[in-house]
Amino acid sequence: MSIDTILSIRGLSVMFKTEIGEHLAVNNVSLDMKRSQTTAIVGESGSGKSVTAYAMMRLIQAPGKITSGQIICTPAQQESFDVLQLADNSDALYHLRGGLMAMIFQEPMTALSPVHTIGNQVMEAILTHQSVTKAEAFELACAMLDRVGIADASQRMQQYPFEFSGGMRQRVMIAMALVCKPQILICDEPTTALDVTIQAEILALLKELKETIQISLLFITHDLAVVAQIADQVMVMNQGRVLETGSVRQILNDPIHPYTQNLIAAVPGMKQQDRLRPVSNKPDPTDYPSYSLIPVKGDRQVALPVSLIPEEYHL
Amino acid sequence: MTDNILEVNNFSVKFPLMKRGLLSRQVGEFTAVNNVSFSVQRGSSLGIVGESGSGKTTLVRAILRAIDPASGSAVFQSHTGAVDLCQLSNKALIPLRMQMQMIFQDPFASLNPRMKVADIVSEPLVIHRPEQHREHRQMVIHMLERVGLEADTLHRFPHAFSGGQRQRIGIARALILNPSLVICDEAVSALDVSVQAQVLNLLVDLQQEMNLTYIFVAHDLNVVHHFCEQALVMYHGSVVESGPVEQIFTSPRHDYTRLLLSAIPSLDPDIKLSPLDRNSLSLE
Repeated sequence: MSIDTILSIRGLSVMFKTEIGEHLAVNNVSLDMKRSQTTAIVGESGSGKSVTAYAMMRLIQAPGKITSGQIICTPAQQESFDVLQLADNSDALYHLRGGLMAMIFQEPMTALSPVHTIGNQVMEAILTHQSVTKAEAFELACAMLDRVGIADASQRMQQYPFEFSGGMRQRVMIAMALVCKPQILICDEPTTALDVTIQAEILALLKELKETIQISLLFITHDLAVVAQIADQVMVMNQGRVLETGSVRQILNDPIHPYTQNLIAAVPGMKQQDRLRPVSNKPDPTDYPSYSLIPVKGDRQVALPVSLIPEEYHL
Repeated sequence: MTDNILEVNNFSVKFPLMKRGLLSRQVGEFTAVNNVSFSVQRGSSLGIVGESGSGKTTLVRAILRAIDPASGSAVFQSHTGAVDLCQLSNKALIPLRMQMQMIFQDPFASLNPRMKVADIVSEPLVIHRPEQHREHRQMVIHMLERVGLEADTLHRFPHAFSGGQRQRIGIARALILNPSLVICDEAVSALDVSVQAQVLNLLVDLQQEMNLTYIFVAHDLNVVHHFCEQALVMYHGSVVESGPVEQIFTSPRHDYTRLLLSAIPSLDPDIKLSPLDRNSLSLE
């Protein structure tokens, strides 16, 4: 493992027991997150992208179960450890959730408590993870809200989530996530519920934060245009499996896997085209059989049999 | 002569601002839609774009008289002739309702979780065509087929379907009365890109088969660009720009339209997103 990998997932599988049998939501997924970069997981609903992120924070609840794999985390100036080996209710796991890794959710209205003030909720995160007084926590929370672009922070700390607009709520979520200075920030569809102008503001904020506080982002989305704007590395998932990994330019400008090509073709473009080409909604398992990822030229991987990979990509 | 199915003139919607308390009274009013005029040609698609709070949903809801407009007219070419929807009583509107239908944004909230698909899709028939009750079942099966759902879905509940399938159920419910005007209020916003592509293709097919006219409310400009011929851009309740979609997208005249366009992320990683600064623009 190279030194600049902050998080390395190896062979992760998550199983959900359902009435109709066992379902592998995440099937043997491997992923390397580079330090201070943005890694994006792209896929349709049900592809297992959120479950992968939840597994990273050990948030999988019954009937789900992590059945195999390793999640090796290497925080700055610390020994690396396997997230999956931490005991439930241990202090290390407690510190990991919120302290080392933090998460921003898609729908800020459901993620924030409607009956607590914004200030209470941001301060709760600080008081949980740091030994500071309430007055100090208030100052820290104010400073962080100010940092993410909420004007008049000390006034707005007294307000409730319903008094904030969607974009402002998402800024509060970002402030809550960043206030304990995590090293990994997981963004689960953070802009999907937002307008295009607000989305642009939030993307610009995340980018600026990434550059100034050196945080590693894991960005989960189905919006390929957002990926193009924010990601450095991209992983394409479908049906719980990784189909292709590579840099953002490789994946978007030069996709190898037919599924990735279809996904890009399904985006309504700025050019008026006759007809969109949707990805089939009943994926035939025989379409993309479970080939394992093989490395190809340009430090990327694709899950296809060698015979289907065009000659020029062969190592 | 142009064949406009809907002509809206000087249309405004206002909401009262109430003082709360025991002796509640009106202390003012808020203009949600301000003096909007536009027309829609039969068989075409009109896009309405704008950010949340710009009044686009309020406008279409008031045209359908789900809420009452404050002033203006909305002349609809019904099967029996031109009528001004704003002048009619609620009772007189009932027969017109089957010619104007709506597809909603959230496929999870807009279907009653306690009703089976057969009941959801046949409910408009029960209300508007009770005399044909013997044929309802056949009509429902036929409609479900047209939107790409199989007949075995009839006796299942909405929770058993994915987002894209639910949106198809919503479309079947809207189209079963054979309407001429269909209002899609953010009909594909909640869907994944590939499911969105399927639903958009379905809407295009149905438009051609059934000669539908769409008013397409969306905040996703790429979808409007793909789907519509004409578009209105709304900001704070007013239409700031209107015209053919191609013209709006290639040579926007209003600063707000430029702001919206500059905020669209490109699929090309080398074209960096650089939204215009809202404060430097003259938006009013």
